Amino acid sequence: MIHDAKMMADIAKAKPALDNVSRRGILGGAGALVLALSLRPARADETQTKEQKEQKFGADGMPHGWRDDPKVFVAIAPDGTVTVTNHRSDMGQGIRTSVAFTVADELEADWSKVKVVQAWGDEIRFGNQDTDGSRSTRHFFQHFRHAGAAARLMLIQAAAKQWGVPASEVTAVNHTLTHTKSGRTLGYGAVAKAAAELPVPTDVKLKDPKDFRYIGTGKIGLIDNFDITTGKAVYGLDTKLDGMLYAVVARPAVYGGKVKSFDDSEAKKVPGVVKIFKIDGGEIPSEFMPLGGVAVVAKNTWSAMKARDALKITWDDGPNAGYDTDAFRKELEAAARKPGKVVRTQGDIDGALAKAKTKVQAEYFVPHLAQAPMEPPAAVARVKDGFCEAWACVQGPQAANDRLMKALKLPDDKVKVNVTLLGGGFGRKSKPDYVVEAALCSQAVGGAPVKLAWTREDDLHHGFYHTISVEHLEAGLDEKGMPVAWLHRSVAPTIGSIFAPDPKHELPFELGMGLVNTPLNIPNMRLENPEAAAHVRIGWFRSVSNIPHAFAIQSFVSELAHAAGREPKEYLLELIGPDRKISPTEIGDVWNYGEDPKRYPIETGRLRGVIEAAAKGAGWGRQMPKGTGLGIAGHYSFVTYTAVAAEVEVDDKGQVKVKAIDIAVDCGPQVNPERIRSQMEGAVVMGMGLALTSEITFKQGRAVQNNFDGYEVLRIDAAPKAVRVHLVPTGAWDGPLGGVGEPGVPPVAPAIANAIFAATGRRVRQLPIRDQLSA
Amino acid sequence: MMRPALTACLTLILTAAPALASPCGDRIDGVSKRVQSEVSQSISANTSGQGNAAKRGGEGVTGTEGQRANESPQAPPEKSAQAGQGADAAQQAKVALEEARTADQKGDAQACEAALTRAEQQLKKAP
Repeated sequence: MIHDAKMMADIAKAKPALDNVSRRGILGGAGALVLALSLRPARADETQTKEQKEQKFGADGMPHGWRDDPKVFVAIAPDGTVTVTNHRSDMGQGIRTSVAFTVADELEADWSKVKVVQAWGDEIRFGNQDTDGSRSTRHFFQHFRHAGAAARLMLIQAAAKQWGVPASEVTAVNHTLTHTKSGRTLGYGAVAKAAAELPVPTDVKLKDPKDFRYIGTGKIGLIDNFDITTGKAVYGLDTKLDGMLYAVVARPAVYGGKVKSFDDSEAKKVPGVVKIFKIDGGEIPSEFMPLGGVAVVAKNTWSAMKARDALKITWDDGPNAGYDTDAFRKELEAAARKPGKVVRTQGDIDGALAKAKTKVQAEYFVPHLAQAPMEPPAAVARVKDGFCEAWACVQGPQAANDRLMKALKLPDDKVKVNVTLLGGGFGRKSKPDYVVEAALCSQAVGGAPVKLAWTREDDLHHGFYHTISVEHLEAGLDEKGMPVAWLHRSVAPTIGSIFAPDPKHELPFELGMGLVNTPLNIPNMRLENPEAAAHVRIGWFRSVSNIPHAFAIQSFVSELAHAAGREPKEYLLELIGPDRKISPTEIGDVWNYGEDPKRYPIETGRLRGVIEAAAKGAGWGRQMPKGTGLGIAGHYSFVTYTAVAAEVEVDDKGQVKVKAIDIAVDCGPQVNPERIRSQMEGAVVMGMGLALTSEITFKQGRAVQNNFDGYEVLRIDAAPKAVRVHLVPTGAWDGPLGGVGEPGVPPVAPAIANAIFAATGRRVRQLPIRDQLSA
Repeated sequence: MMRPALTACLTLILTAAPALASPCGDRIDGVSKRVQSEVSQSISANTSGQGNAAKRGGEGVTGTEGQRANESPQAPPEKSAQAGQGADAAQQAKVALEEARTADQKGDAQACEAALTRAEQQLKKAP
């Protein structure tokens, strides 16, 4: 009997020549099996009409779309073991578990007999693999249900054929096929091979959700839990190959810097050094390609690092050598105080501001941040005989595949990217520059496999940073204290700057993260985006531009409530207004997270619902002891609604202690409640870090912070005693799914800032809070 | 009882009133539908993940499409830098449309017409 994992490995090796592999040969070789291998499926866009192509949303619109072919995703061994192939990167969010139990549920598989294997990078085969944007469950849940249901039907058909009975007389329940009239039974493994030879049915009936065994129950633990907790799980840094060498790179400290010359005479004296060579780079925009520098390949990482230290490199720092974040903040503030490009307007803002009884104005600042995943970027690559194979902790294997093709000048069928577990990602590992570096190192040493590791310092010094922003808000209040005019200028360097030279303005997808799609019910509103240049690589950071937008808007609403003498939660709810559905097309949001504006309007009732749920959880309205306070914030992001109520204590030295967080989430159908809870808990910790301590600054173009001593993520002694997650139930299982990975972050910082105000009467308008209150 | 001549006169005034009050209003309705359609089209055109949206958007607004075209071959052919440019144009068309509405409500026909013309120009930029 062939073990199914080995079989999957054999199939994986078949890429890129998969189309040429004899399917019959593999099945024959197995002696039994398998629902595992099909001919390469056609691209979705090759089979659709022009009309169907015209507007695509969600997974339909992603590069290479989606697949639901059970012959791609499901394998059943003769012993009945079910192996599900997961094509999304797992960085701790548990998607491997969710994908596996979704398939298993529709398959009616016994969970104890289910395994999961990781797909390599091949979007033609598996569909889109970009694990970003909080989209994995949102885009693929229904498709994996279909894959499992189709496999179940094929097993039923195979059993019926074997028994010579109609398929309608056969049931599949918990890994057992039963002929209902005779009582005969078969295990799944007994008919797997016959089932594999059947065509994939197109008319598949999904289970009634009331019959779900695993989906939505919250009772399924991580499928990788044992391996993770016993150190067996393989992350990017764990990959080992025979004859492997180790490498590090000395990169330009300033974005756009280049190597003018280098002296490696001392570095070569370090025992174990194999090769030192220059990597080209320094182009602006950098895209996802390496920054360049000098690479050191050695027999172990320590030797490589010591040799790197011994290099004498003369750098041309390039155009960003003067970048100083203190000075740049002043530039942003100046830009925010002048009119900028209007990105949304309604009513007569100038007239309403002029007539307003009270005017309120405030500015908010959010610094650069680093994703700082606990596992820094790492990759192993082997470039030999015209073929590149990589093993890496990447969020986007296809993106890595494409950059390897470019760097090595190889065709697609000569590149393969294997995906390991990711020790955190948060957007950093969507950019595969480190995979390319590993491949260049392997190429330079003649094809030996090379592990390229980034140190923590490398990660903090050469990242794709969260942008830096100033948010300028003005409001005019009427005699009841409600805003009749709202002006918001958001100014920040754009992520677009890593793709195009100096685009100046933020892009629609950034503006659509809580700015343009602000759901507040205000008659006169103008939202502007003044110009800002980028001087470092700007990238995605968990929840992206929602962070500054939510911090500013939710803080400002609290400020307005205070100005109006109103209770902040009721004021926020009144400002959101009555329950209604706002179409993105009516407010000019041209992003909408890529989702159909008809299926995914902004539902203000759901936003109100999470605010109420968080407030209830926190005991909103109770008497608070002196020096403590409750603050609240709600936000819509990644088509999900979240709200946070924070309880803080500020001592007489101005030290802030977050005592408790209540976070409520409405993400539509809750596929994996256990993981939703953990994602919200993780988001709270990350949100608290950026609220309280995290900041990357630059002097002379160089990142100042070196390691976790300078770049502080939340530490265990600062974590709140209680993080209570409230899952707000929503409607039917066919309702729109929302994202989960990112939406928990944005409301954390403003809720804490609002709680600090409630506790002390002092308003925090810049992050991180650190010791601002001790002054 | 109202005299026939007066009745006819009032009828004429009442039926003519909307057109006389807002000649720009009729154009607003027409442009509004086109803008909403273009916004929806832009959402669709940008539905390909954050990386591709950033690439297209950046190239779209800076006019550098194709300079690094071979670096993101995963982007479907219909999702080019033009899509990024189209999104910006659709958003700016919506802004101009709302400016037209505001001008119309203030009875400033000239400003309304000018804003609508800007909206239409933006719509023409969309791919």
